[in-house]
Amino acid sequence: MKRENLANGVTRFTKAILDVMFYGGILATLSLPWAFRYLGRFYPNVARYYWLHVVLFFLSGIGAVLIIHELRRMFATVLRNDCFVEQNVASLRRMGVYGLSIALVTAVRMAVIFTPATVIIIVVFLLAALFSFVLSRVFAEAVRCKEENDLTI
Amino acid sequence: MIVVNLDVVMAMRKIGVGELAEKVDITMANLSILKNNRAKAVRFSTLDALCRELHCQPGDILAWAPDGEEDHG
Repeated sequence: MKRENLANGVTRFTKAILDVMFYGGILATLSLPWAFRYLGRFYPNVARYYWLHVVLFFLSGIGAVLIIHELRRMFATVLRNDCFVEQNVASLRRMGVYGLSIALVTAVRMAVIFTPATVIIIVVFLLAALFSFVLSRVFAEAVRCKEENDLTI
Repeated sequence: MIVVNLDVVMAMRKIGVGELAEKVDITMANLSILKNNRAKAVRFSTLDALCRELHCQPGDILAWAPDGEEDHG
């Protein structure tokens, strides 16, 4: 009972975090032109490459929002107690593609303005994308096993 | 391919899906999967229960047919 309550609490917390990240991500992505206009006052490089920053961060933002969208879809299947489905295999594969895209966009940004943090972002998203691809293969195998088990009478 | 002739044996014994499912202690949905040849595997325990309730041999329920010939007669 205590463990069940804890699991429910973790589930609700995770769902709330994903919701905040999703809607917050959309807002943050849409507010980029104004955010960079403001940041340009303090960072000369941001002001000089204003449109480049807006476009590249906008593309990264779309990728990040899409990743969270896939995570929310996956989480919905977890809540339904039916997470080993083909839909989640496709979601993980798409998350990998989005992660690679963000790493690529960030690499383009690095060509203009080099910062050590940019390298870290590229490495993190490359690893996350690889992890996502591997996890999608693991899920595909789990879906196959589950289907076989479900059809064993 | 393996063909399940459960519907034939059930018709011969005049027993319905609901009744047989209850007797062998599996769900009607699972029995329908088996009856309609959509199952990937059959547990020995299920086969044992089916043979016991239908008074038949495994060979009466299962048959082999070349691919594409589902109805064995």
